[in-house]
Amino acid sequence: MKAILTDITKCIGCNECVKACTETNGLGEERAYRWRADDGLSSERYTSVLRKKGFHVRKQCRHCLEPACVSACPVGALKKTPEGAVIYDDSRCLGCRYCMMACPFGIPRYLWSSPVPYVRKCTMCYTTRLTRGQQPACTEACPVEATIFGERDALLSEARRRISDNPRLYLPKVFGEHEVGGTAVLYLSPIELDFLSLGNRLDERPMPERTMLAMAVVPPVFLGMGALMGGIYWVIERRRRLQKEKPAEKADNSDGSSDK
Amino acid sequence: MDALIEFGRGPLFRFAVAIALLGISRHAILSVIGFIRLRARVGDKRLAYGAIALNTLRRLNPLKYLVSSRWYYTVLSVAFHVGLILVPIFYLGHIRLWRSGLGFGWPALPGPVADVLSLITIVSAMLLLAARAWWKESRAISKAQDWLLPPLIAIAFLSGYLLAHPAQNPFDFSITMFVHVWVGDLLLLITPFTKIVHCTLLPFSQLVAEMAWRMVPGAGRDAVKTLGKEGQAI
Amino acid sequence: MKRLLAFKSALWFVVGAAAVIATLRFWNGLGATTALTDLTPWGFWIGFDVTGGVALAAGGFVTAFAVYVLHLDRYHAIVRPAVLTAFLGYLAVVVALLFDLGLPWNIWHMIIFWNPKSPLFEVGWCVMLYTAVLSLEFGPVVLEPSRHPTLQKLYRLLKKATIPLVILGIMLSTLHQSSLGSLFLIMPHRLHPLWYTPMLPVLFFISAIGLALMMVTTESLVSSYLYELEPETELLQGLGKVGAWVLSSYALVKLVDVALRGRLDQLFAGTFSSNLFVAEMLVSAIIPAALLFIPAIRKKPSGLAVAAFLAVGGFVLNRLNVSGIATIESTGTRYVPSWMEVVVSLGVVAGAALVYFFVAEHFNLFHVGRIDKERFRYQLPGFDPRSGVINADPYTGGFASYSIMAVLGGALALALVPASALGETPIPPRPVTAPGFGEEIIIDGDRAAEAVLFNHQEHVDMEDGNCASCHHLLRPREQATGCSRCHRDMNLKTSIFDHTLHIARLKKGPGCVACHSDIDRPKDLAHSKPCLECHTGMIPEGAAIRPRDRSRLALAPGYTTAMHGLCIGCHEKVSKDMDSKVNRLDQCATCHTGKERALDPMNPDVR
Repeated sequence: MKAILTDITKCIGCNECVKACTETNGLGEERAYRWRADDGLSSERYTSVLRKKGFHVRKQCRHCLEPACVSACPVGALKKTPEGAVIYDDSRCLGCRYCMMACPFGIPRYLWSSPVPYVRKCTMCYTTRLTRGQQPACTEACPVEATIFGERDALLSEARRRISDNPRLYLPKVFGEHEVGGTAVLYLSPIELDFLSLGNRLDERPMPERTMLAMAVVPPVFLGMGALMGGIYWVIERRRRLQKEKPAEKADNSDGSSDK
Repeated sequence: MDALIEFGRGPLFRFAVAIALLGISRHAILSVIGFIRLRARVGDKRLAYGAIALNTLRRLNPLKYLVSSRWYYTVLSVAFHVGLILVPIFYLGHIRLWRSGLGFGWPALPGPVADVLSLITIVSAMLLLAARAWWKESRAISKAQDWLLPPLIAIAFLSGYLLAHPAQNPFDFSITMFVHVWVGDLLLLITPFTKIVHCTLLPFSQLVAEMAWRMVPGAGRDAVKTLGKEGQAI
Repeated sequence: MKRLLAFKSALWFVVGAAAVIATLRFWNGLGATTALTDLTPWGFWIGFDVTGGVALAAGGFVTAFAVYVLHLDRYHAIVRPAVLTAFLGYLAVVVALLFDLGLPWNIWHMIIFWNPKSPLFEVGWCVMLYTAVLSLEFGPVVLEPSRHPTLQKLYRLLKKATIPLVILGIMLSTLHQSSLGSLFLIMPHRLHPLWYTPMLPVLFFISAIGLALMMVTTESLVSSYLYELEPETELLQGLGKVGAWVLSSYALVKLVDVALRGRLDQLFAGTFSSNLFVAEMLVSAIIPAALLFIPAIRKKPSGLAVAAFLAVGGFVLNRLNVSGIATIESTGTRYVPSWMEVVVSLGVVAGAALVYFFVAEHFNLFHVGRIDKERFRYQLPGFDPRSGVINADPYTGGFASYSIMAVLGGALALALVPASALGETPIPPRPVTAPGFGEEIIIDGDRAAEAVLFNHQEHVDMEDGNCASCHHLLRPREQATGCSRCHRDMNLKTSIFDHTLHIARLKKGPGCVACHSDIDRPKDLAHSKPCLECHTGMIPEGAAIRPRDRSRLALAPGYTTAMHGLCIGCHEKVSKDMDSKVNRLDQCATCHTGKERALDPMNPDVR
């Protein structure tokens, strides 16, 4: 499983990663559209460098280990590849934007200006670079190795080594190790990174788990409801039939008795 | 004044265009529905569509009427219509407005041609009005809109001509523009509700007239009943 | 029939307006017509039309359950209207969804590409199947009057299949009514904790039943009002009684759920969300249930109407809350539905209502039989009253006036739409505030992000007082025009040409011909005198920026573009013999250090 580690303390805010991303993905001009969020991400920018408390924090898709978007998409247009990247397939998408609602980091963006709109997000350069054995454009472009690419386990141990080497510099945790079940984009930071996620604070439970129970009971509820309805119908119908036959039977009996 | 002109060129113009286009489409749709419903009641359904279409086209040919007793009416009417249809659609300034609003345009009439056509339309509109006033028969069948439409059209064209030639314009630029824009909007707005709508209904007229002769036997009687005119002379 | 005519005219008006907006929606995309944003991608169409619409159409399965499964024959009179409402409701949901989906022509992908983990996948399939089931359930009503043998055979076949169809319909409804709640289980980060609960599917299901009863009541009261029939109070009070129990148990389940999750304290926290939650509970369940428990109220049509309207409104509010309003606090969204979204939603509902009336007037929908209208048997071809041209069928009766209403609605909508809906790029204006002048200038054009500190004096010294190096265009009688005098918007191009001013100044002199030299040629930029021919001093000697096309001085680029272009462009030229800070000007952090706080206009001295 590949991953990206971004060390906030090393970033100098040069935006080389953003430039490289823009070029590799052939992204167009960034415009101040009405619908754009103020975190710098848009359908034309898959990564951005935020300036918070004097630090530079790169924002991008976290490539969750158990992605909410993948479990939400009704047609499987989003996929988690074995390499770790979460990728999106234009040709399957029907534009419901459930992935955008589900993402706890608010990452996927939409081509709102187009009459034929698609979802846009970082894909870890999956088709353009990862599958050809190259690392993503952003990590390659970083001049100070503030954001690096590698195996997730290796990066995690590297991160822990840096924390133990320099415990006063960093908060004592690797951001992305456990949140929402773990992400493939990890951060080392001296400040809390709450601003990277959207809305209420989350725990370590993977997002798809939250719908799993409700989805698991679907088949039994479906069949059970059918059986219940059929049962009620049958019982009442039978009682009615008997009620209708009863007076008739009585009549029959009385006829029979008179015959005797 | 500027605000009024902008309103006339913006929201009011869009409203007027939508009323004109949707209203004309409504007439066209209702005509087709009416035609289908009428056809269901017609006894002999073998209509010579080709001949009827040809007949309709022939009626539009002005030359046919040149030899009639009122040939000048025909000449005036044709002269009036040519400018009326061509100039608003193919005047360069209008096309430029369309291009900035819609994103596409179309070839324009040369300036002098547009000028001449506008002047012809203005003059023929006034002459048609004079002719209408001159003959007693014409006066008798005229309604209010027959009197009002030619002057309105003439005002729209005259103000347009003056706007295109500001050197010859004795009036204030803004006032001329205001009159042009608002009278133009007004004409578009009343299109579906006045006789201007004959531009969509005309193609059906021959067809309908042809079918009216083929109603099932007894239809006339039923129609009289429907109209509640039993026993009256028709 | 007057109120029916008026009501139908209003519906046609809305349909016409919605049709125009819907066309613009497909022509120019979602961004042009909706107020949706990247962080609020679901709005009114999902909240009202889809989650609300499906719940409002629950009457079909609840009534069918009562009549066919429980054999409550006395309710037979309301089965047909309820099933029709459900059928039209689902069709309306599907139509509305087509507007909301970005790529509606791919909606069939759900049939071949499966993701059984997704609640939306499940909802999609169930809605698809249930709409088919409803069409079969309602089929007999349409087929009944036909005399064709095949259709008659089909009619008998469908009649026989009623019970299995009803049961299948109940099974499917149970699933998707609850799964609509499951949709939001994956959004704990968005949804306020009072609403977010693992019980959402159960709550959605129970509320759908309650809403179904209230909706059937509403619909029955409305159609008897419009068609001037006797209201079926006896039946409806029965529904109301059941409804009271369902609504009160819904309220109970909901409160117990809140208590079990330990959120009771938030109930009266007094925040926007908690007040909204309490209001929703009162309107949707508690007040209607309390009203309906009182026999005197539920036995009167007016009492029933009040309770039912409250509950229907309350539950629609509940769906809107879950899918949007209850996420405002957590996401800080700026989304407020655009009026165009609302008009399209209303148009879809109005369309469904018109079909309902059509069916009521042409088929045996109500137990009193079909509503017969007086109809002309024959109409003579006549002259159109306005155009004077002969016309096939003189437009009489409703359709002619209705279609005028639709035309009016459509035209009004087109007149009122903003420029963005007509294809103009939707970039909101963001005026620039001028920086204060001094030795050091705090550049903070939009008063939002952090500022950039610019040492003006240093630059003046460096350029030996040659202002033109940066101040590349001077307005008349000015020495060094400030950036924000022309670049007046952060992102948009702004015109620096004042036509009115020129007219006023030149009126007494040469007049229009001063600029429009050949008065008979088009009066546009290409045919007018370039500004520099009169304003000779406009571009100073040695100006850093020279407009490529000298006749196009009128449009100034946005402030951001202008500042970046000037600073970065110049520094790139001089970078070779300068220190590293100057060298790295193409890197955002060099100027946007993140250390300069935004200028507070209220306290200009505090930085």
